[in-house]
Amino acid sequence: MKLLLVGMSHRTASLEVRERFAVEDPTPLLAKWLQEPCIEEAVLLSTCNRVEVLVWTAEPEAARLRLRSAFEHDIAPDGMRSGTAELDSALYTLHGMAAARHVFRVACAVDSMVVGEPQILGQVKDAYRAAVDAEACGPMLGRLYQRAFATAKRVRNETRIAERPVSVARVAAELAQQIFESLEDKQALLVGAGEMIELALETLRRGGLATARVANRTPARAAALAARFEASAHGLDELDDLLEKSDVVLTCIGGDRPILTSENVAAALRRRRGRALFVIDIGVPRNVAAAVAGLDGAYVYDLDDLKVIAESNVAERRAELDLAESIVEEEQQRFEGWLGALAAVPTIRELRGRAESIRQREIDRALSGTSAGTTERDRIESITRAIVNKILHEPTSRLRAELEGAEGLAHLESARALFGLDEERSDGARGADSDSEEDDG
Amino acid sequence: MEFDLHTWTAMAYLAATAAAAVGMAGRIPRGVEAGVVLVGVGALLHAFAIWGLHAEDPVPQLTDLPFAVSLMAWLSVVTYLAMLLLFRGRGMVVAVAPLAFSGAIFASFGFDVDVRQGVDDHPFWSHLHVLLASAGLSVLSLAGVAGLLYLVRDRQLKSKRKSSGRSGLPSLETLDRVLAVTLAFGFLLLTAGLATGVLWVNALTGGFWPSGWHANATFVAWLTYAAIVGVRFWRPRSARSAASGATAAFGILLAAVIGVQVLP
Repeated sequence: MKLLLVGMSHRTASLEVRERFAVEDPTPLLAKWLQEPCIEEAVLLSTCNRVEVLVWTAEPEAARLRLRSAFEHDIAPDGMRSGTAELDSALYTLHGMAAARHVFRVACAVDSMVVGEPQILGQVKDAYRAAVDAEACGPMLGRLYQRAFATAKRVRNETRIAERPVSVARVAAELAQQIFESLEDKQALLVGAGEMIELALETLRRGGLATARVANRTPARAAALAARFEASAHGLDELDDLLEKSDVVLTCIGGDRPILTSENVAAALRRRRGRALFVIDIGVPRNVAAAVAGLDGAYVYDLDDLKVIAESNVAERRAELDLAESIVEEEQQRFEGWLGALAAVPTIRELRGRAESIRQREIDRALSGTSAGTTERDRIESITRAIVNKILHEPTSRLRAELEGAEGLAHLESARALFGLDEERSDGARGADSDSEEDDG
Repeated sequence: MEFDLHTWTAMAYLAATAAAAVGMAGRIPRGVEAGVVLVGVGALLHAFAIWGLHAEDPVPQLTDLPFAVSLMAWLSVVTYLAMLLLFRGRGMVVAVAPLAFSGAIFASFGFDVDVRQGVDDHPFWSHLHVLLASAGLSVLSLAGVAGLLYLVRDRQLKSKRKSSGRSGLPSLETLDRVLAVTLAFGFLLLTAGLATGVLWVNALTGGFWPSGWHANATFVAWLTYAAIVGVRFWRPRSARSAASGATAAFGILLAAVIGVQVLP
C-alpha cells in the first residue's frame, strides 16, 4: 500500500490551465474513483491555486494512470480539454513520503502562492471533510490529514510565518495603497459572496475602507455577507451603476464568462471622469476580460499577477520558511514512523500467536495425566500468560520504536529471522501447497 | 558669500538626492525621509544664499538668469515642502531634490550674461514679471515632476512587477491631486507673468509682443498649459494624459526660460 498524489498547482500550470480543472463539488468524482479496484481511499483538493488528488493505493502505477486519465476526462469539462502535452507538463506525481510531505507543506501554507496565507488550511479541511462525507477517506488518509492539521498548527504557533500573513486580500490591500492616497474615502465593490470575498472585505475594512457593496447572483447571500460588514447588497444587474461609484472592485464569482467586459469598464471609466479603478480578479475562471487591463485608468490584477508580488515576500520570509520546513520534516518523519509501526503489526501478531500456541501446548503437555483441577489450571494459565507477556513486551516495544527510525524495516527483517517467523510461514505455505497438491491428486 | 552658500545649498540638495535614491532603490523609508529633511536643510541654506545676494555690490538684478533660476529652484522646494502638509508626497523628493540641485548649482556657477536693456527703466514691471513668472515656473515644475512620477507609477502598476506593491513613490491619487493643484495655481501665476511681461514690453517699446524665442516659446507653453488645464478640469477623461501633457509642457516652458538669455 502506498500514498500517491497527482495534481497541478500555481508552480506548474498557468491560471488559464488551472481554471479549466477547477472542481466545485468533489463528491461525485470521489465516488467514481473509489469504484476503481486500484484506489482504496481518496481526497480531492481544488482551490484557486491547485487541483490535487491524493489516494491510498495498493497498485501505484495503475492508480497513477487512472488519475492521469481522470484529469483528462473526469475533471476537465467537455470542450475545455487540454492537449496531452499541456496536461503532462502541468501535472506532477508524488509517491509515498514525498506525497505526505507535500500535503503537510500545502496545509502549512509553505507551498502557497502567498506563503503563510491563512485560507489554505480551511480549504484543506474542507477537502478532507468532503472526502469523509463521501466515505472516500479511510484510516490511512484520515491519519495523514490529522497529522497535517497538527503540523499546520505547530507551524503557526512556532514560527512567525503566519504572524503577519500576507493573504491575497492583504496583497490586494497593499496594492490599493499604491493607487489611492487613503482608503478612508473610497468605495469598494465585491462581486461574489464566498469565503475569499469575505476575507477581502474584512481586510479592506481593517485598512479603513469607507463604503463597501456586495453584488452577487443570489442576492440573499450578498445580503447575509453585507449585513455582517455594514455593506449594502446588490444584484449583478446593477453592476454598471456600481462600477461607476466604486474605486476598488474585487471579483470572485463562479461562471464561464467574464462578468466585467472592456465595454462596461470603459463606459464606467468615462463616467468616473478620470478617477482610477483598481480591479482585483481572484475568480477561477477569471471574472474580468483580459482587455480591461489595457484600458487607461484601469489597474487589473488577477491571481497570477498577485503571485508575482507575493513571490517577493518569500525571500523576506526565508528564515521563517526554513523553520517551517524543519517542522514539516519532523512531522513527516513522525508520520513515516506511524506507517512503519503499522508494518510491525502483523509481525507482532505472529510472534504473540506463536508464543501463545507454545504456551498452550506446554500447559497441555504438563497437565495431561495429572489430577490438576480447574483452579490449578487457571492459576497456571494466568502465571504463564504473564510470563509470556513480560518476555514479549520488551522486544515488541523495541520493534515498534525501531520501526519509526530510518532502519526500521531492517530491524523488522532481523526480528522475523530471529524468531523464525518467515520459516514458519514458508513451512506453512509449503504445507498448504502440499495439501493442495494432495487435494488435486 | 552667495557663491559659497549656493554651493553648500547644492551639496545639501545633492545629499538629499542620494538619500532619496538609496531609500527608493533599497525600499528604505528612512532614506526617503532623510531626503526630505536634507531638502529642508537645503531650502534654509538656499534662503540665506538668496538673501545674501542683496549684500553684493552691485546687487544682482532679479532678471539675471542665475538669480532667477536660483529663485525658481528655491520656490519649488518651498512649495513642495508646504504641499507635504496637505498630501502624502514624500516620495516626490526623489525628483524634487535633483531639480533643486540643478537650479542651485546653475546659480553657484553664475552665468556671465548681460543684463537686459530696459530693466532699470521699468523696474516695477520687470520685477513683477520675473517674480510672477518664476513663481509660476516653480509651481509648474512641481506639476512636471508630479506628471513624470505619475507616468512612472502608472507604468510600474501596469507592468505588474513584484515591486508594484511597495514602491516608495507616492500613490497615483496623490500624484494626480498634486498635479491638479500645481497645474491650477501654476497656470494662474504663469498667465499673470505673461500679462505683466506684455505690459513691460509695452512700457519699453510701445508694442505688445516682442518677437523672439523666449516670448514665442512661452506663448506655446502657455497655450499647452491652457489646453491641459481645460481638459483636466472641464473634460477629465484620463489622468495619464494630463500627466503626459504637464511633463511635456514643462519641457517647453523650461526651454523658453533658458532661452530668455541663452538663445537669441
